Amino acid sequence: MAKNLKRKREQGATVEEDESRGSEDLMSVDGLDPQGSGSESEIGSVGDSEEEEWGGIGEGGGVDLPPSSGKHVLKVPAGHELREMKEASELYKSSSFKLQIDSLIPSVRPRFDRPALETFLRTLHETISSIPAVAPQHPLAASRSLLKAGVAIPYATPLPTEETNWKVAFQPPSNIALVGSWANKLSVKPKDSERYTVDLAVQMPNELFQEKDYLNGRFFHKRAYYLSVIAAHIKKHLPVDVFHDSTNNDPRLSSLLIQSKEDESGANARIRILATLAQDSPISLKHVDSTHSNLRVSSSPNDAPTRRYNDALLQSTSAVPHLLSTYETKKDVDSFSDALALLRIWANQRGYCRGRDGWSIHGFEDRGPFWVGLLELMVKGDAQVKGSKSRVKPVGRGLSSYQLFKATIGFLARHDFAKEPVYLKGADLKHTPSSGSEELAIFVTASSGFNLLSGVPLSSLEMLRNDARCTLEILNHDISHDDPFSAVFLEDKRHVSERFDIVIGVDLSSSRIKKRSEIHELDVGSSGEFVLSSIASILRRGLGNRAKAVPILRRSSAARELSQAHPFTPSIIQVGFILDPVNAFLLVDRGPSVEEAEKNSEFREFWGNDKTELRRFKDGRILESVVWDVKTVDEKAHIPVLIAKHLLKHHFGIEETSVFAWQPSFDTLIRLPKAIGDVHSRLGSSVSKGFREALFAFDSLVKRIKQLEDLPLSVAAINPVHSALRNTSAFTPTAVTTSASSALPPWARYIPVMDIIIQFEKSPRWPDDLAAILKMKLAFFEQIARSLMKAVEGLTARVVVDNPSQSASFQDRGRLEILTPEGWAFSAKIWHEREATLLDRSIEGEPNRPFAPKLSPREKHAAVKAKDTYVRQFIAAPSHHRAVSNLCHRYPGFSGTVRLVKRWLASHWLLDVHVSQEAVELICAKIFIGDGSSLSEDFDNPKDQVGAPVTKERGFAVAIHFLGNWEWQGGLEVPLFGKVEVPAAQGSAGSPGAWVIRTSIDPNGKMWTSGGPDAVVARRVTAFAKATWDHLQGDPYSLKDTSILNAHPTTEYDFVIHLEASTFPRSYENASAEIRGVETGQQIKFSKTERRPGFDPAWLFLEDLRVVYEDTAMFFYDCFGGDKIGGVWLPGLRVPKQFKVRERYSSTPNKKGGKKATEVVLNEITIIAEIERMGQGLIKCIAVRQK
Amino acid sequence: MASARQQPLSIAGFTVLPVLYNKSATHCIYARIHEQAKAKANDTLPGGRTLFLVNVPPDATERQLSLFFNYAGTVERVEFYDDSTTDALEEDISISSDEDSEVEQDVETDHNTSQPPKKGKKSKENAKKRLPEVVPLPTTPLRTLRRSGQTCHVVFLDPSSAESALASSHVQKPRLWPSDPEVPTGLSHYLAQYDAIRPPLDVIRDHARTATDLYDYHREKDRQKSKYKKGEAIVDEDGFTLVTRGGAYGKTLGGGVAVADKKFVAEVSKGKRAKKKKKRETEVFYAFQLHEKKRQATLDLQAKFKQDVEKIAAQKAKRRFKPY
Repeated sequence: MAKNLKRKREQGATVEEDESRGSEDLMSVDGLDPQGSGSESEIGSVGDSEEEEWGGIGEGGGVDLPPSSGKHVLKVPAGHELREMKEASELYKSSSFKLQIDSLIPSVRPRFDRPALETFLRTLHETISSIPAVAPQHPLAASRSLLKAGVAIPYATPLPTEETNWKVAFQPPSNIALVGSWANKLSVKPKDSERYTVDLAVQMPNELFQEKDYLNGRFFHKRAYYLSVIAAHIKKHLPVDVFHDSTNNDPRLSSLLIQSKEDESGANARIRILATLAQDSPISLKHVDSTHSNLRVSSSPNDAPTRRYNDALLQSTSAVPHLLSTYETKKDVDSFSDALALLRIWANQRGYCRGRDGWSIHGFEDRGPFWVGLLELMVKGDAQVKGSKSRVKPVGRGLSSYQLFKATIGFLARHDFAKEPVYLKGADLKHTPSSGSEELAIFVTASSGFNLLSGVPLSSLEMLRNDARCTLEILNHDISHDDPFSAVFLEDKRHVSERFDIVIGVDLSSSRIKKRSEIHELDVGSSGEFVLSSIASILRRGLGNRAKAVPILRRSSAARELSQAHPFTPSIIQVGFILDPVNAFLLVDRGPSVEEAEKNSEFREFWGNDKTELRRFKDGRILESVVWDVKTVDEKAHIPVLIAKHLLKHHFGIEETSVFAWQPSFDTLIRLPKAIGDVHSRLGSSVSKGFREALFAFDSLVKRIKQLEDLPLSVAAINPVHSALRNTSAFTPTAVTTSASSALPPWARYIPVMDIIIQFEKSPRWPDDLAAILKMKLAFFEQIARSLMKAVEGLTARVVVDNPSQSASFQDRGRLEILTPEGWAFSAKIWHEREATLLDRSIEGEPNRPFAPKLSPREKHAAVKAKDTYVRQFIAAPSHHRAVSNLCHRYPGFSGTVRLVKRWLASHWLLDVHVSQEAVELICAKIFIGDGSSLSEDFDNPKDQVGAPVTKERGFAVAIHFLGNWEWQGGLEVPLFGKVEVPAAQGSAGSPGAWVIRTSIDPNGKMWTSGGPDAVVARRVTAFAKATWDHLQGDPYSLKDTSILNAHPTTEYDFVIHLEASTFPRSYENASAEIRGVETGQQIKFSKTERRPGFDPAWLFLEDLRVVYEDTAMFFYDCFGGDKIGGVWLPGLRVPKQFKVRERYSSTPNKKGGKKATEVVLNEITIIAEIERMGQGLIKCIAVRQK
Repeated sequence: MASARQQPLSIAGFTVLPVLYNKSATHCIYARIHEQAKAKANDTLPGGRTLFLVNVPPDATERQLSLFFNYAGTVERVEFYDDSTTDALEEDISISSDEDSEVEQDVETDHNTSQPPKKGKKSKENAKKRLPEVVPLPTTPLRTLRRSGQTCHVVFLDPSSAESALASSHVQKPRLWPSDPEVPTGLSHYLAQYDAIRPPLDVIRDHARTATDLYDYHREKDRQKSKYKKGEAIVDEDGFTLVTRGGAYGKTLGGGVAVADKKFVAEVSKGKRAKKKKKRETEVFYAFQLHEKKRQATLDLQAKFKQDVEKIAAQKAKRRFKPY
């Protein structure tokens, strides 16, 4: 102990000298002397309490300011404080980032002083040392005898047979030592509240082995027996649970897991017993380098090197050297342990670890040495290898933990393991990169001497690189508003639906691998693992540059009972796709040129003969190629899945029914029902459909209007402002021609109307008076309508004056409704800039015009409202429209995402009623553009869209996750038009809207949310999003059924108005199947000839209800053909209140109050009766919730 | 109906009139005899024979109310009060009524009587000066839905009816709410509304044209009127005359020196102009200033750090630093 204290003092001294030292609360010194030979006393020293505070570090530092004089009231910080602050803001990202890291690290560090654990380790040491030797015996006989004790020996393949002539035996270990992260006090809390693992290396005595034991798995058999004997003994003598465990389901990497039966005193730890091999063992280690083949297989004439086998063998010698080298590095670099903790939290949050609950990235179990190695690489740099282009230069040792972490992430983001192996400085270079077709990641440290990435598929490493890129992007960004810390460290990023553009679930139980290779299969360790690694490499090759990464995800291997010899490989895996937006949806895969015969046959073999064909391309080349045939734009998004399905079937015999993709069911959500589609397709090509057609119709309308000659002013511009014209309306816009509307059932005759804005050339002839301007607009509408109808045959144009009975001369109520002969409906408004000035005058008054009319407060109020509408309609909407349609072109997944989110919100009765479409678009835009830095860059260079979803499914999941976790009180900045300056003072809460979505042209953030959602509804959105998010987390089987996504619970409404939906022209949009099935029903009297664009009686009724009962109840409705309206009484109305004349709800005297009472209470029954009366012909019935 | 009888007859000076919607739903209208307000001279409601009703059904029409009060007497007229719908039609037809109240009167009388205005200036264009008549947009008898809990005045033909309307003998028993078959409800209402707000193009044309004519007429009149008001300049405290652009009148008011810049006008009106110039001092001149500056920087750093510490402590309290 004295030795320890002395070292502590020494280290303290070095700290004082070192100015750039990182955080103060770094774990101070090591208790364990790694040189120790594993005696009992060494184990005992593990738990020594070392976490004393060092008072006054830095107090002697030379940065002290001269003592402040007495005049100053404010205390100038002392030198060490100042230094701490400076460091925080310079060595870390920002001071708050540093403080966050400081708070994070203790919560993932275990307590290392655990007397109970120490005592147990001592007992364990005694127990293991006292196991009696077992005489050599035949492996199968040994297996039989141990089976009687309930322990199966996890012999790896190739299994020993009766003919084997070598024997297994047991002798007490030559050494027992604590190794791994616990010994070095580098443990980081594992994911999913698993226990901390304490690694205990039990060195097998050299007498048990012979020189040739490296062959045919003999070493592994002997070790398996050795471990099994220990297991049987511990099980018999100690009151603990013992399990077999195999890293990555590889039986060669077996170990024992020991945990106490009940977790007393919150030890929260378990012990892993690793059987290791001494460095000086008789086994000839020079035969296990990467070039030798150590598995003798009869069928395989050529000796392919058994790399994974060799690496597994070498791994058994590495525990102690690794411990020592880690200790050295930790001693050298102060911030090492914190940086490692950060790195491991980062990796754990992304599934590069074992985990009980989530899906882990294939190949990353128990890769502790790899993460340590990465940091060592940062600190030491790599070895000089001939022909290697990029070198990793060592970074300074005085870096802060954050800097070291960021350097590592930077390396991971840049480095391509598929192309360049990594050798740390001091590593022996015998692991030369493999030649030939075998692709392999190589990462060798000085201490290990073997490939730390052995068995990690390249696709998983590509995923790692992609994750590192996203993180680097976050870290590089301006941190003024978004919180980068939680995105990097605190959020669980394993959710597949949010993480991958496409996820497919694959059932491997029916897989039959087509191209077997016994030696490779044996090298991998088990047939199940071999299938996995083959799938990984084939999908990686098949998808090529369509995907940035195609990692395989699986459930982590779990500890198993001692009686179970072999790990169980679960048959369900998931494959995640990170797509490259540029290449992902190409129709053709190009292969080698026709001249290259050898490559050609290889290509054909890969894709299957019936799939490939020779094609001549535009540039004259004739290439072997694969063409994916798709019919619609929707199907184009399925190409990556098609490829995966084809390859899985071609190479592994996995039928399409065993591959689950959840994309098609999402497609149906935003497609018109099949019955309607059939009607359209029966009408043939005359029906135009789709966003491009809608835009085309708009363009031709613009042309027609501009060609009109008899207008008094010429048209300067016509701008679209409708979601159908910017690819974001929930449904694909479809033209409804006269013939179509007579063919369609009455519940599907709705003609959606698209808004456009007409701007005339500037002219002094406009009147300078608001009301007169509005009349002038009517005159223009009339003129355009007349001329258009004259010019275009079959076109109908009508002037609509909304609410003619309503007053308020400020309101722009006129519009022009145009129904083109092709079946598209438009609604035009005229924008006249002068209105804004005039409205401002009415609002603010004119101090310089003494004769200007004075407005009454009510008129002023109306003017404010009119100005609001004016700004939204004519200024905000067109620029919003332009920005959003730009995003649609830039991000292929944006349009679909917005459409899905709209559909989702509508299905929860919120869209349009409470949440405006523009608000949805802005929120989705935020998901895609992040902090907007990629928006300013070159349009044609989309490489910087690292984190942006490419498919609508992922975009939807991200949006749902966002909505579920959004703290809307703080607002949201969407840099759609450039950087958003957050106003210092928060805007007054004038409008009921709770959401604040700021853009640079709308710094108050209420442009699209002033009408809602209010706080109540916003909380509802959060709740719904959380529920949907939970549903998305389900396994691939249940993910298929998205109808559950949209099942809206109606039990929370105070009353539900059931509508006669089958007769409404818009019912076909409703998601529920019952309506879609309705073919006949009580038919409304629609005349065959007359078509009513935009006529939606249910919506009109809802709007009336909302106005009439504004202070009585809130209403909810699915704007896409909903068949129910939900209502909730406003809070507080059901309590009796004093009677007031100006009360805005229907009341009845409180009956309980007696005769003299002056209190009234909400008269619910009559309101329901009123609604029923007002909705005659619309309402089926009203269901009132029983109290 | 036993429960209805137990209802209190009056509440806060209002008599409760129970209205039967259907078997189970009884609506309550609160009624009181209207008292003519003395302050308001233009109170057109006759006292005594007018009932003030609170919580009238939102879809009530005049006819329905007349029918309902049939038991008491004949209803002369009903006036609804709802913020958004008061004085509905007239204002719409009388263009720019806010310009001049006198003119508004003109229009209304004109509209009602179709007589040429007496106030028109006798000049050469006398014929043109006739106040144009605005062709109104067609109105169909549609039900107007008002906000729930609305109020209205019901004017009876004679005072005794109003009193008998509140007589307890009539109020005891809930009365059935009459229906108004003339105006459609529900789906047919919306269908009718859809067609009604799309008037024929000819009507639109005539309406727009006449409305613009009326505007021109008013403008011409204002122009003439403004001549007489010329010379009332805007003089500020220092005695300077502010010269502005003419704006809608097309003429400069006040003196004619020069035209003030619009920006200048805006600034003066907001009082920005006064403190424009401010001398900049050299900030770091003396040694003590330098020290002060450095010290301030340190203190700022400290303050920011402290702020961060507090923020993190708050987050910590929310247990935010448990990654999993």
